[in-house]
Amino acid sequence: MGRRRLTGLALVAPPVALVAFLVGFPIIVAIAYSLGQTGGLNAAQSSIALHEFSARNGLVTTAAYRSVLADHGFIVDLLSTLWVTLLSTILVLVISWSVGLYVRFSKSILAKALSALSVVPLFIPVVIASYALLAFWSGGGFVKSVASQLGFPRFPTIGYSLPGVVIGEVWVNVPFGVLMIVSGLQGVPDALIEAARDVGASLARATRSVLVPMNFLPTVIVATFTAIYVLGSFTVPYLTGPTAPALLGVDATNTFEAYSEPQQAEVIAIVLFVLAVGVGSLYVWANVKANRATELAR
Amino acid sequence: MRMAAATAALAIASMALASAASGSVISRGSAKSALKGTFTLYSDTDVNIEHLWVNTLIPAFEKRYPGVKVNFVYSAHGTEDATVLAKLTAAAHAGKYSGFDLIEGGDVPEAAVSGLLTPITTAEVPLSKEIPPSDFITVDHDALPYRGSKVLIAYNSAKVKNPPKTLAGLISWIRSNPGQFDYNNPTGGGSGQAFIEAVLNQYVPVPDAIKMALQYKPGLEGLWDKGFNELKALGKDIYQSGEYPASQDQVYQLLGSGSIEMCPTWSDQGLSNLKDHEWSSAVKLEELNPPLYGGPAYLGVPKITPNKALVFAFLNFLLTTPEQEQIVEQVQGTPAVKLSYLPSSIGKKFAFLSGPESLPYSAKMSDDMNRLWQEKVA
Repeated sequence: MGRRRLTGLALVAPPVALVAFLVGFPIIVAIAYSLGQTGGLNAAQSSIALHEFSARNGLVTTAAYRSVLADHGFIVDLLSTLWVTLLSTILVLVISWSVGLYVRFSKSILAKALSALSVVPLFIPVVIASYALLAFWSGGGFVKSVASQLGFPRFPTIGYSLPGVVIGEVWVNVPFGVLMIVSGLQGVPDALIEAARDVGASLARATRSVLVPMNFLPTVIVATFTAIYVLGSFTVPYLTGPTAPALLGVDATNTFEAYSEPQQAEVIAIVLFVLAVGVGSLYVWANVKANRATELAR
Repeated sequence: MRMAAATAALAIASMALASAASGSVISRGSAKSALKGTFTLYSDTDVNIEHLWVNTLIPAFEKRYPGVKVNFVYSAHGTEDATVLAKLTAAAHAGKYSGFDLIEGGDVPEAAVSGLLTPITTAEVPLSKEIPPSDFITVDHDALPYRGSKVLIAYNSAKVKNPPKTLAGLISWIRSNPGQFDYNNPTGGGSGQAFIEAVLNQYVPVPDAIKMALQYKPGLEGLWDKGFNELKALGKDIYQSGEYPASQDQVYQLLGSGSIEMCPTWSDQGLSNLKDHEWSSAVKLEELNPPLYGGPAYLGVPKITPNKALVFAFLNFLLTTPEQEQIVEQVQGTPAVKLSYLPSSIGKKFAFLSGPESLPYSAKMSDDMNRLWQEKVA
């Protein structure tokens, strides 16, 4: 038993070491930089930084954090990122479940076409999709033109706005959601649904009591992956979003490049990291819960 | 058959004679042709300049100096700027070679004034004597201008019959034509930034404006308050009540699609847009009086590089007339050398850009300006 464990550990050690060195170690150095350690490995970056906070006496300082978190613009950006993430995640779940249930219960050609169509955005590069969405929803675009023709010249322009960003993020994340939920629903045998119908459950009740609980894990996976993606996304908000408020991904990039404030950019990145860890812990909890349920069922 | 063989022999003999004759012409430059090696050119600019390097200038240079290869590293829109600057600084501190032999991009002036680059005089690059001396001021002679561009105003002449000629005229035009003017977020490029700086400079005394162009003086940033207030008030008359696209190209597309009637544009990008028909021929370019900023694009040679001979030969090559003509031809860039050294057709083309140049702010002042614009105006 001991030897098998050692062999296992030895096999796993190289990739873990690689990840620790290439990802873990830079993260630690970055966190140190945000806490005021501007020397050593951070010296080169620090030499071009503006408005930096250095830790006196070699210890840590939270001055950079206080400066960023007290900034009104940052708080507005943070709140905007949170509501855009929440709304995008909810919409992706609603669309994925709707398409999933339709495909599960209907054998028509329309259902098959719908499931194929839902996956198409996966194959279109996000930059091109963003420009296309802008052209479609902007001031001179298709939607506004049709609305004008139909007598609604004051129809809102959704290009360069946060609702536009939500549309873009939903568009990008729907394929993954649909794939996960559809495969999760297909994995529930017909026999279970029929058994529920046999004892008098309506289709809606069968869905609520059989399909939904059995697809708890895929739903959590879709929700967490979408939320983490939207939290840290850059391309869609950069191209289709408003100048202000900006989502945190765009904010961090501008702070690093355009304002030459790498330390403040690290702080924003760490805020995003903490949010993502919070969302990721939901995923871990769901996995543990699902595994425990499977063990109990044995 | 014999006739054919004889003709072939004659042809080969005459070709050999011809190549021997031209060989003697090449041999005059044989000292330069003995240059061998590879050097790395890092360029952070826009796509049109990338094509200029890859399709025109570098192949011409490699043809002229067959032993030399150019390793071209491209990064779009300045995304790698901060990293490259950090690399150069780290290498300079350690006294080591940074891996770059020649750099182009927004951070060259900052690298120059930080002392990271090699001074360039006529000893290293003989043709640099043809460049106006004022172009070397912002970089303290530590970089070489090889092309130029200015920020102009592009307007749709079908809709705008009397374009404004001054900045004050432009601002009142914007107020009376709400939603028809736009400029990009200053993080996205110089055309929007130039407009912002011009508005700010209205309230900055000239000596302070020069300090802002040449040095980093954060204490002077209070002088920008009036300008930022004006830009904020102007916001409601900007396209979509104050939406500033992230990239210059998106603004050009707005003008091309007719969503707006006027915008700032770099002269080379504007002329390219007209040439490629992204803008209809109704779009005209004009220079304001006094002009928005503009100026040379610089190439800098890091202090520590083993390939200086190759790089200086390259820089000299770029200043020769055929290559300066290519710069005009391919990207509509303003040549770096004085117009008197070039054919008169080119002189006529750029006569309309003959006004004085305004200097852009130094790199760190621009960084602070970007941040304050986002806080106060966006």
